Amino acid sequence: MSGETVYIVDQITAKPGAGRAFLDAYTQRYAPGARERGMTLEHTWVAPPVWLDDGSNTLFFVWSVKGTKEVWGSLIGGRRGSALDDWWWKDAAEMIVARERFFLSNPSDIASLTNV
Amino acid sequence: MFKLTRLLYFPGESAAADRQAVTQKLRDASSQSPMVTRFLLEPTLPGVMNGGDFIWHLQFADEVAYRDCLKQAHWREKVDPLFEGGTFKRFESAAYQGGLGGARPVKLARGVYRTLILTVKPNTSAAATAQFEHELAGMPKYISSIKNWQLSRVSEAAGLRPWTHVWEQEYETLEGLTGPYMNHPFHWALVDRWFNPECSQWIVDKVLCHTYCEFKSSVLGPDA
Repeated sequence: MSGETVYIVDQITAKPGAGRAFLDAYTQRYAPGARERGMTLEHTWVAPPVWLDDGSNTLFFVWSVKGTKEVWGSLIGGRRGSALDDWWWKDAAEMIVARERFFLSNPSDIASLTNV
Repeated sequence: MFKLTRLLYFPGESAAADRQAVTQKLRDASSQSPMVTRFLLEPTLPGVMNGGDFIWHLQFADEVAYRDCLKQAHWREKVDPLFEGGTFKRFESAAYQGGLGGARPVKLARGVYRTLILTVKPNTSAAATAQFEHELAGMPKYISSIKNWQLSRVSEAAGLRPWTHVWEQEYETLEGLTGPYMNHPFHWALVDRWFNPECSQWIVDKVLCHTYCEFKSSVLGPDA
């Protein structure tokens, strides 16, 4: 493999009424560090497209990274120190009902990504 | 099969001759103990993380044989004192019943032995631990450079953490570890989530021992 694009997607279900606050926190406190680790924010989506006061919005953050070496750079870079632990498991956790991170690729890149 | 793995960290100022004398004592004790069925004592290779200067790995028929080995007079007189202060800067130790393992139909006369010693965090659910073990032990199915492997739960631990698991592999060359093992998406897109604080699956303590050395005789292959 060489420089296939790998997508990293955070799917976040916010606590009722906390969707917009979480978006702000993610944008201001998480995203800058992710960019420093080589991640590029491609899309930010919210469902449904209305801020719910008494229901949960689900937010999708689609990041891209070029190549496996850069994937590891984004992963390992975040494990030094405890800042990201605190962000995800304390600060963000207070605004979240559920979250999942996915690592994805275009299906046409699977052959080269797995040809290691 | 029961196993004992120790990672040995010499003081930085210790002379090569002193290290040689200590490792020779361990080598003699290993080879002279009838309970030891296979052992490995080799210097680690550059690039290990918290991996020590030497890997000392011993295998026994079962836990009874392991206990009997520790009771031997020459073990208590020559081996135990080395681990009671002064000889090593520190050491990491894990004793364990060999767990889920496998081997490819290729005999490795020499190669690279790698072990990952880790701790699943307290209060992790049994279901999460089982899924983690299932995915970790599933790596050889997708990563062909892993020739022999075993994933085990630790029963006795000492060192920086109360180690819970040992994940051992053998490769034909170091490139099998640094290349395919690290680069395969089964690793970074699936298994690594258990190690990643950014993922909801995170259960593995960030302090772990990733270490490897060359071997002249396989300790994981069935025909070694």
